[in-house]
Amino acid sequence: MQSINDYVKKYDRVFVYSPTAQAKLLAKKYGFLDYMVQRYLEIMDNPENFLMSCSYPLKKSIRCNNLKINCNELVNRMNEKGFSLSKIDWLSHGYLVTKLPARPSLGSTLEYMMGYYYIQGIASMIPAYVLNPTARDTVLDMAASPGGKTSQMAGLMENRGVILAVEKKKERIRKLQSNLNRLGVLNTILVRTDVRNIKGTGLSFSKILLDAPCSGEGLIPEDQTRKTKTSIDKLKSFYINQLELIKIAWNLLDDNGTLVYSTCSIAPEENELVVNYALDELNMSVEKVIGFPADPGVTEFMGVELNQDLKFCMRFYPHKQGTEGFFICRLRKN
Amino acid sequence: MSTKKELKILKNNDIKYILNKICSIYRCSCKALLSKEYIEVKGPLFSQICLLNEGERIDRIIAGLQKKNFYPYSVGLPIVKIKGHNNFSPLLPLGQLLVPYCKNIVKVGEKCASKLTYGKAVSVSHIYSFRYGIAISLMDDFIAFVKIKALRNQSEIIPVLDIGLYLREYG
Repeated sequence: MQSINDYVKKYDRVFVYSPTAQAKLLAKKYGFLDYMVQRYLEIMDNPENFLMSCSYPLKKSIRCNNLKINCNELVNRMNEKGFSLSKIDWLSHGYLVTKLPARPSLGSTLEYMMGYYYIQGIASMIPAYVLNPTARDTVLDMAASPGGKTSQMAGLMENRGVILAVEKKKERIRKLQSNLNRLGVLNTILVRTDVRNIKGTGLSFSKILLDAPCSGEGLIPEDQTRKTKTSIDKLKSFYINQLELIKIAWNLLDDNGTLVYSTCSIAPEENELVVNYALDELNMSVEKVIGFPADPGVTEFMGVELNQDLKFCMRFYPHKQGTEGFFICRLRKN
Repeated sequence: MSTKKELKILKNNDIKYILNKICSIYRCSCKALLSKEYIEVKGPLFSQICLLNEGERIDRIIAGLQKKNFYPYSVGLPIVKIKGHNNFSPLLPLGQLLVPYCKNIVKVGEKCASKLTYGKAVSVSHIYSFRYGIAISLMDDFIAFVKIKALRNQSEIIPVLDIGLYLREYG
């Protein structure tokens, strides 16, 4: 097994960009950093559509909390308050908010406070379905706050089984606990620590969700500052942290256990390049996931050929799927 | 007082006294709640009684964490806060659990419910025969633990702990 340092060195050239004139032009036109646009030109069929789509906010979406309410009842209640909810075919509990009243706002209805729904991006609802935890599982949620995915997993598990939800930051764990309480989650243990510390407890898990801390490059439609926020050096530090986290996940996973790796970034450096490490160095395998209208993962990038199985990972874009930019991959420990 | 957290899986007898006391304030029948599993998470300043499922499995994970001297921040659903001997109060998640079993119920319309969730008192033209109640919506959803103040021909409903706290404290 190659060390993370050696792996980083092997692919270091991925972080050396020389943007083309076209990349510079488009970067100027849409207010992005050059290197970001250079890679969009490499990995997308229609990069300008993507750049344009980033100027518009996404449609609001919510996840019905099946731990507390029947989803049809939620739709009726919200209708009575002037909201229109439209079911997303490929998400069991996902709804687009197609009409909002002047008051109340989506985050201040009684139904929200009662924990009947959670305001959640469409793509960010997918990882929990892909992991598909059941009452038999012991699940580790490696970066749990603010708790959207944790509570969604609890819902899929019908509040049975166990989830160990780890969050490092004090402020974020308070928010996480508040959300889990509001949403009626019973099967979760919250721990405030760096997930690295879970190694050495002797614990292992049948399923792990690693929704890794990332640059948030997929959230540009919601936060325009992200067009210029992440320098290449910062991107590299996210990537190294993600490599460390995926290795920890592998260590903590039962044999034959399932790991879902996801980020709200569309940067291959934070996604395919990280999963590539798990495939080539940790001997994990990618599992093809069906049922979601995703683009395939990237297998070649900046002149570097990656593991071909990365095509089974899933990418989501605002201009194609109408979601936040997102990456999801399901892996098995061999 | 120790700064460390401690955990204890509670038996029915341990929880019975506290739940009965809370239930008596709101005139509730606690039988259904007593058959569930609880854990007590003791902190340096206060303890919490938390409702959980699968106590044995949770116990195994906690034992693993304790090997490295980790104590959970929280386990399951916190329903009661204990500040000292005979000094305890219900937490928000207990509200909805109590609703089907209680008699001191204050049913309020949408407007009143909204006001209560801002932590504001509301006056209604109804006389209640109790001082402490559970405010619920017309759809039987828990809104707040409330105190009732009798006024002439009407009552003031004062929220003691309401679901608006979820927004006020954590957005």
